[in-house]
Amino acid sequence: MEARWIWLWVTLCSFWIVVHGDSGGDFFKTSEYIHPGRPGPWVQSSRGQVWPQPKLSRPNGKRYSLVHPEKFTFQLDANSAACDLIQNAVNRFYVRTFPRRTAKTAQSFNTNHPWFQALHQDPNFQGVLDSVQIVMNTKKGCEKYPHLDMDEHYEVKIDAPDSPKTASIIAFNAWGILRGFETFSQLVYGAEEHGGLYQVNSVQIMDQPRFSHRGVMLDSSRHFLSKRVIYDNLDLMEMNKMNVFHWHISDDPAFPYESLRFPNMSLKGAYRPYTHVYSQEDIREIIEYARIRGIRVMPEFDTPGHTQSWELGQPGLLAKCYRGSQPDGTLGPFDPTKDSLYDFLEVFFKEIGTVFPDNFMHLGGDEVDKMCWQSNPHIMEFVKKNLGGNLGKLESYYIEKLLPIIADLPTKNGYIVWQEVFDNKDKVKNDTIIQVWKGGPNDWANKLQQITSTGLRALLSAPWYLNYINYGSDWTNYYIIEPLNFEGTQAQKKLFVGGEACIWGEFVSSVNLIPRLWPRASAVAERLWSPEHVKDVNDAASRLQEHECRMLQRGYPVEPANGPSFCDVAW
Amino acid sequence: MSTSRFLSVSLLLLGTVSAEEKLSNFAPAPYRAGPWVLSTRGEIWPKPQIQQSSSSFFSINPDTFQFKLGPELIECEIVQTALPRFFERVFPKFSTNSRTPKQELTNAIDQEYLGGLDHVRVELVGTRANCETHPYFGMIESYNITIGGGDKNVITSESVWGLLKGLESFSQLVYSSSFPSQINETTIQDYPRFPHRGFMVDSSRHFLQMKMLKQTLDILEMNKINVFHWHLVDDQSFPYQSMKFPNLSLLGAYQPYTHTYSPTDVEEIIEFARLRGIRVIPEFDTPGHTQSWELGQPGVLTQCYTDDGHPDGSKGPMDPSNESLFDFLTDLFQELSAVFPDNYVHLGGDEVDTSCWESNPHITEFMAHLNITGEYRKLESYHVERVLGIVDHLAKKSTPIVWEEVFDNGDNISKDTLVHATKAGFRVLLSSPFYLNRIAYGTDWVDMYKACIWGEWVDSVNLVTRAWPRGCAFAERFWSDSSVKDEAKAAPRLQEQECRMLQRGYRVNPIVGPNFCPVDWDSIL
Repeated sequence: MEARWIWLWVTLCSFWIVVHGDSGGDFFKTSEYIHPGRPGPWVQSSRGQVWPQPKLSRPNGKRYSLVHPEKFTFQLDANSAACDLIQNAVNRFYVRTFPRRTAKTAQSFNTNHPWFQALHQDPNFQGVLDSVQIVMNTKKGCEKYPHLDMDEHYEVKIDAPDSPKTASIIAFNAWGILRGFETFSQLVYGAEEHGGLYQVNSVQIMDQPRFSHRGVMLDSSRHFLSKRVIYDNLDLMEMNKMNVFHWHISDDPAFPYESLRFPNMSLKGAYRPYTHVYSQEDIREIIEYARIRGIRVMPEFDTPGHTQSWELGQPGLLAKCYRGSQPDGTLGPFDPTKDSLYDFLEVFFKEIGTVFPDNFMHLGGDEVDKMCWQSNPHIMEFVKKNLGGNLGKLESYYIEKLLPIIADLPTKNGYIVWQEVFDNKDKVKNDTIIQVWKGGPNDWANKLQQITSTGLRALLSAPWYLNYINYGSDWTNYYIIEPLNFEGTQAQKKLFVGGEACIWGEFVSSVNLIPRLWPRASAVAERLWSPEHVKDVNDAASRLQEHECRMLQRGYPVEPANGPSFCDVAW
Repeated sequence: MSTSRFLSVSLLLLGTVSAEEKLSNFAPAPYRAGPWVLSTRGEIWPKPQIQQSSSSFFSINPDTFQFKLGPELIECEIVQTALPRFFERVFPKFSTNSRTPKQELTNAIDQEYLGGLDHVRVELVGTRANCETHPYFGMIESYNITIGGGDKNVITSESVWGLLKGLESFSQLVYSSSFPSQINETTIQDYPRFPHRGFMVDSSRHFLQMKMLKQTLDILEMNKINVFHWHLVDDQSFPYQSMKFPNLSLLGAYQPYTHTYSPTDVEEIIEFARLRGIRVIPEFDTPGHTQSWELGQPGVLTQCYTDDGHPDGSKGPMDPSNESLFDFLTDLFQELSAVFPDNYVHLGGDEVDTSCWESNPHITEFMAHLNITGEYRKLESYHVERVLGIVDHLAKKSTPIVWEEVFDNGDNISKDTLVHATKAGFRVLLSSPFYLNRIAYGTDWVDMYKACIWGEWVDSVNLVTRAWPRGCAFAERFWSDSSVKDEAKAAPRLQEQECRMLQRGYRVNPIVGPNFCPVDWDSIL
């Protein structure tokens, strides 16, 4: 997607550092909520606050309960007990709710302890909460795969006025229950000061996402990403209520997808066969891991550019570049003039359609370099004959031949493409989603306006390229983005489906993916989930501080986002 | 210090060469399949001064290989304890042995294959040689290596510190190709360009786990860096557990028991570093950057006043008008000089904000008494000179190091003092361009060639990841000859060094663009 942009960026960044020297430091020094000239952390952590912030959250006074980890259960109703997603989630969320629970903490607690007896004098103390009711109000059973239109709305009630001293998670289907579980696990906090018991404050939450597509894009071509790191990332996405894993699986440097029909593609096109590839089994496991967390896996096989590694195992796909009348040995994008290319793609994408159950596929379509096509006399001959000599139309020709192949797949009913496909005015189906990745705020806002004015849906990632890094607290840059800040009617705004945090792989591998992405991507997660009015950076900073430590405590190496600070548990 | 100095020196550093030109030298051709930079095999980082190698090679088998010590090294602790460590580095646990394709193995039996190599002699030579125990400024670090087969395999040096460097180089010469472990015919004569090659970590802004500090020391050794500058305390927290003043960490650390360095911890770090030929220089920055001191030792800081002359509750830098401050500092530095064996101590002295001093009537009175009314830089100098005086009278002779502000203020400092920055006349340490906590996107290691990592955004999670292998660039700049500066040539060696550190179990970042290491991080967790 941006290999060629990189050098420009590096250059600009270097220059920018020369000119400015300093970045994040200034932000904090001028910001109100930071007091660097005093002892202690710059940002005070919140306690038991939820990230991303729920739509409606109403505390029931200052009432609270304690939770005994050894005597706590999730009570499933008949619907949720019959749902594999919920059955799976119970174990996962028990551990998240009570991190670092040890036998010692459980034993050390004694209800006869004077300290505990004294609590009963506190009018706000509501006793020990021993269970949460899981209520799934559906007659249809639970869905198998998450999808773009799934219903993630839920309620969490803890010692609410209408149901005192009880707790419940209520939703219309499993996806909502999953989000409710996460919220509940975040409301529980602070075992240290209660002799191993956890605290939960009385509250009533009604929550649903602002946008339905909330994604993270990973690039497993430029550096191979291990399955374990992909799992970790899916866990973190769930903790941030993100629901699409956009898997940019192949690109110029390497082709790590192990194809059933074309095994040579990874044997020869991966950095290393056998160790640096995703086998069919790996992919099934990743999809399943994501599915039970309510996360879609949307594969991207980017074409016609960014395909150098395809040629190694499937020779003949790429255009030969010429110097004068002779091929110069280098290769360009796909050669769209060859019929054999489409024969191959038909078989290839049929396999992909079967392997990946999500009903969206990402087709790429970005950054096609036309120099090579232009140098090739056969291609230019074809352009002259079929496209009226207009080389610009060759890319459209390719895309328009590819799209029907995808549309004819039995499992797919939609696709996403990078914005170039729109910019080139290619004919696309009406339900296509265009992903906007270029330019600054004005550029992307204009682009969103243009796309939605044609009735197409739009997905935004331009302000959220998290592979780019700066010194200091840059999460605020991602946080303050307002995606609907573009010209357009209400109907147009409805065509905005969401956004994605993208982390390209030039300088990101299994080693640094998690710390580089989190908690910075949490800023994007809240922007895409919470209502528009949730935008106070000061308030967010203290909740993010808690969330950062929460993710750390759960065992993920997330980096410090807020300057000097500490977490109860050190890494 | 972590912010303002960076600006000025970046301008100096990059002002003459545009960023674009610098990078174009290294820019690989991304528009092709495969990694951008191909890794070298068996090359050393930082690059040795003089090295001759041929493509002929020996195989090495971990089951039979030995280091054979000269008789002068029997009972020499530094070298003895190093051998198990270097054996593991020569044969990393996670080596790719089992995955080496068979085909390559059969091709390997050709005329370049010189047979097996079963030992390397390790010898202390020369008239000056003795088995030293503590690293120091100006220690001998030069060494020679010959790998010639038969009994012609030897690492020699006039000091144990040189032998450590030689053992590291030897471990890097070994690589996997036709054989799981092999080494080329080689001779090396190597010595450092500069004697003080330091790396600073900040354990105040974020507490850094012992494990991470030790990992850092391991990595410093792998990059032949010989000073661990430990910025122990700052505004945010005071994690150093003092024997004389236990309240300093009880009340001043983020957490009193889990987020502090006990005397045993500090001793462990110093010992861990000593065995690796690395000096530990503690920094106790005064009179600024001391907010956390006040929590455990009330009264050391200056009370700030409002415009109408009332204490406003906030505190400024240390209060030099308070004579008991210097009694306290005398006791503290006495303790420190006993705890830290190095002859150098870093006294900070940077970024002193004088506005609080200006507001305080007692300070004003005190300054009138000293006859320096209105000259706050001179008050700072007064403080620094008193502290220098304290350090000067310690039982153990210590040489102070200060940040460049002290020099800029024209403080009366002795010629021994090391000024930590870019000025002339005094012995000078340079760190301004090497602030590794500042990150930029891409291959920023080309800008880094003393490496400091300040802690605002760095904790145990990302210390190693953020500093390495970017810090390697700096390591080579200060070890290797000034002529070694071609980034395009360095990149393949850096790629090897990155994968080497990863394979040895350290979480280092990918920095040269799309690529892979033979061993992936996941497989070594």
